[in-house]
Amino acid sequence: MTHQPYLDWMITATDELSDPLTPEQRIALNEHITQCDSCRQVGEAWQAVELKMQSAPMLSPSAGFGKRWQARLETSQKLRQEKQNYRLLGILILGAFLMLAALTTQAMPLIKSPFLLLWTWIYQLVQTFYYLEFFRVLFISIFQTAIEVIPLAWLILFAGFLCQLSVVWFIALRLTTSPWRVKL
Amino acid sequence: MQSNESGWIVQAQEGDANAFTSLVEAYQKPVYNLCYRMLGNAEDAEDAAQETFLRAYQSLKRFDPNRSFSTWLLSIAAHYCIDRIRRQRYRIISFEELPYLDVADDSPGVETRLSHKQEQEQIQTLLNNLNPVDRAAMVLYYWYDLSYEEICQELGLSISQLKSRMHRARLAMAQKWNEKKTSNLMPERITT
Repeated sequence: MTHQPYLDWMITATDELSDPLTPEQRIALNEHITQCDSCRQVGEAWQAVELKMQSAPMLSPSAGFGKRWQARLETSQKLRQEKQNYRLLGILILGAFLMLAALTTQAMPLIKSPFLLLWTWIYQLVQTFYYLEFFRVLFISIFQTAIEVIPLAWLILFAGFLCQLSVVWFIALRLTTSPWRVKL
Repeated sequence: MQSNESGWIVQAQEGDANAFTSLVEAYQKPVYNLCYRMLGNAEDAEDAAQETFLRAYQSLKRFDPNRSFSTWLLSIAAHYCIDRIRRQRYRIISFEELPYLDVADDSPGVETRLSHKQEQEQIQTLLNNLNPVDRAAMVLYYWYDLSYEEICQELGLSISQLKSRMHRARLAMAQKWNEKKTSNLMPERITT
């Protein structure tokens, strides 16, 4: 005996997509379930289960769910921020390593002759000191000329103006980077 | 509610966490219920519901205002629960292991409450035996009155796939129910 269409009909009786049974199908189904115990039992079981599901209530979480969620959001945002920081640090370290690797590759031929490498380092060092000395002399000569040419009062005013600019710059920096302005 | 909801969504999309908390308060019950029906215990349901809201908050900028917010939220919850069940596969929960259910029951009688609780546990056990996607489809259909089209959209299934899944789930639940009934009747038959 085949059970398939009868089982389908019973299981999908209340289904919105299934077509309603024709009078002939209904008669055939009734005949079948009077003879077939297993199909009748499945049909009755499904009716009982469906009834229970339809009458089952919506369950509520315990009180304070919203507050617990807010706490979780804060924790999650902190974790996210930490992760971002670690990621940035990782990228910087990786960048540094890559640069070091590139420099090492470039310096490879020099490393093969250590004397040449040492000589280059000494030469670069001397060059740096030479430039520093050059700028020092240049600055002092400009400063001395300025003192001779510009009156003292103007110089004081200029220094004061520079101080004010520094203070404005510092305040602007603090305001733009303060946590309540920067939403992360 | 609808106009409030749209306002909260817009504010939350602009980064207002308090506005999103209002949405959490409004939708905590349906989301928690879905998570409970999917996962079968209060602790996991609470955690999954919290995670659902967190994920929704993080992806709120991608939310399409033409869609229903509740359906979108339920979809996130269903997918999260499906993934979670797949991760903790084959964990079988017996009737005895099931914790107390927070059923909002207005009936005063202790007996009524007990029978209500037992019925809930039975339903939950039947649901727990289903494949996670079938379970999600059954829960969305019976507790949220979503249409087949909506369920298909939320679970990424075609109508024919959904029909066959629902049929399989119904049959499995009915057979399990029968088995339970028969095994409960057995001792009585022996003693009588």
